Amino acid sequence: MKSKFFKKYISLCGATLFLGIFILIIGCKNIEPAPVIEGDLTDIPYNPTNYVIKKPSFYPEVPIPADNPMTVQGIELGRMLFFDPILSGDSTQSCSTCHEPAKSFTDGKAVSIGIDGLFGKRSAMSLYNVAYVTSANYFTGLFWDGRSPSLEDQALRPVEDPVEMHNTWTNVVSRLKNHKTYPEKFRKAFGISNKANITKELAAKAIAQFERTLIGSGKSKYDIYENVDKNVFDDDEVDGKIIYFDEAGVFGVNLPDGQCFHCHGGITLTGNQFFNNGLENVDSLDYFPDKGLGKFNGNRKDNGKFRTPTLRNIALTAPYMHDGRFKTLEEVLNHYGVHGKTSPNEDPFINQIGFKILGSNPIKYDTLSMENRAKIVKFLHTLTDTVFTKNPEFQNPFF
Amino acid sequence: MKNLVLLFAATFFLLFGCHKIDEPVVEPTSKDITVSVKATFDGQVLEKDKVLELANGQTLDFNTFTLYLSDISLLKNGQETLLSEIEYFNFFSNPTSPLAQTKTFTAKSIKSDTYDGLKIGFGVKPTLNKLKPSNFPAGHPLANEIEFWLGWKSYIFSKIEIEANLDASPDMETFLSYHAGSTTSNDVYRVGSMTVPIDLTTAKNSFTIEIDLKKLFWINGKLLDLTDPENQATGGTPSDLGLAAKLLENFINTVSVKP
Repeated sequence: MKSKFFKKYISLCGATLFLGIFILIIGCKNIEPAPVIEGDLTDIPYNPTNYVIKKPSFYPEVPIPADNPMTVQGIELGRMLFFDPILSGDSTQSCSTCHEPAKSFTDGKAVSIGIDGLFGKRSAMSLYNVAYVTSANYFTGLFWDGRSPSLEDQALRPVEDPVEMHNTWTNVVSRLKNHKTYPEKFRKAFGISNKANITKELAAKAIAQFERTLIGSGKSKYDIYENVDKNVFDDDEVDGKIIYFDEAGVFGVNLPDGQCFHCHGGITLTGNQFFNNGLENVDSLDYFPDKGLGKFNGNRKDNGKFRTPTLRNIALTAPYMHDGRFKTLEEVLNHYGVHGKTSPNEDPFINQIGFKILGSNPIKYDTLSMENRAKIVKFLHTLTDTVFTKNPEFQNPFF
Repeated sequence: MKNLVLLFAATFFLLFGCHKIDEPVVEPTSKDITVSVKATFDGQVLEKDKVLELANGQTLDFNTFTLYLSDISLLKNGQETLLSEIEYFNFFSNPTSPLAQTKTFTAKSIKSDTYDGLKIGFGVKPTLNKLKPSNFPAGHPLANEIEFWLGWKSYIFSKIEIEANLDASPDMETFLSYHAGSTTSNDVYRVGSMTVPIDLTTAKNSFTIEIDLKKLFWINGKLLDLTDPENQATGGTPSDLGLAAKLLENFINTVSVKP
């Protein structure tokens, strides 16, 4: 009886077990998991954090385009892309190759060199305060010739330039989609739901966001002199500033006008406008070796004109001019000090360097003495902002 | 009684019927006004990099023309209606066109009316010129830091740069540079007004302010002697603002209003 009961019990357990396994197998087969969408990113939270640009109080507000608001996540992604050689054809060069933080985001070369060892035509421009290279009120544009209207547009261009990164955006986007980190970063920055939504435009937006954070610290010696303590300048630096800003009349001193501020004016010490600063001796507007703005806009009178660079951190951005022809600031001042070279559309202010006060005893069109050139150079060194170049938020995130 | 009822009914219909027929067309009491500001030379749109005849064989070739206008107001019987507190104009802001760009601004909720004059401040009025670009939001005319003169802590009220041929030689041998700014102690800001009918009734909701730069050089009916070095550039000292003040004062005489 006991044995019969035991057998029955075993059979029942076996049947139950069999049934359980059966249900498990069949059940599992019937309850199919939700189909996995390839590249789906929706399980990653999208909570962008608004970013307020850090700038000195005396700086103007930074213009932000409505279609690319600044977020912490966008800037983080942009910073990675800026420093990542993934953008270049052979993965050897990043934006930072030509725009090194320590050199105020230039590369120290006369002209930049691309991944294939080819020399570019022009020198890398500083990105110091690059966010201000925009205005609804006056024309400006990025690059030396102003051909790019926005940071978002500019960031797209070096990737496909055969002399620079020599890549294609199709290739870059493919790399980004298949990268272990970037899809998540794009999700967090822009809320894309799938890897497939990564585009070159979003990559450029992220880079532009990072670049808009590259604002001066307001802690250069010049800024301290202007805003905190007038005693930080020595006499030569004060004289250099007076010559630079044509302030001799204001101070009632006998110093020539350097006319520097006409082009390198404003808080950012650049108007971001375009001038022929007398670099070439040419008889005709057609003879400039590099036509600059004129080649971009087709206006012959703009041949030989280039965008004015900021002079903030200028001591860190040698060599100088669009083609890097001057190795030192002294060479630059030797150029301007004798009114540059002559061409039909040379900016008239170049010929007024050394211009003294109009009035009862006008002395004009003098050259700048070596002593006064040296004073301007000393003043230019006060514009150095190493708090900016050493800002941890501007450094390579991969080191 | 019957007549009384009829009389009452007739009066009723007369009153209410006439009310409907005579209901006046309701005009909006205020509306948005678009004001265009156009730079010309001798009645034609000002053109950059073009040789323009001034007088006596003297010719000018404009490079730059920027201007701040403050407290642009309509006048009616001495009363002012403010259109804009401050506007900035850079007439050659388009790199692909040599023609001066006509700039517009919109004045909100302006009373539909016929006005009899216009009042304009040439430059940045002192209360605003005390401030600096960081005091204004991005996009504001005074956030424009390239027009802020650090040396003097002043906005550049107007910038006119011209290559001129004053001696009938083949070359544009003279550079004329009029950069007008101001220190608070020596103000060159100038306000001018003019009598001119400006009809902003019914469907009229715009008008144009034309600034003819040829007239800028005619002061009190006399051509400014541009061969005199004193008249070729605005001075570099606060005590030498005579030319800048003279030009800003004369700006009102360059203005005409077109419907």
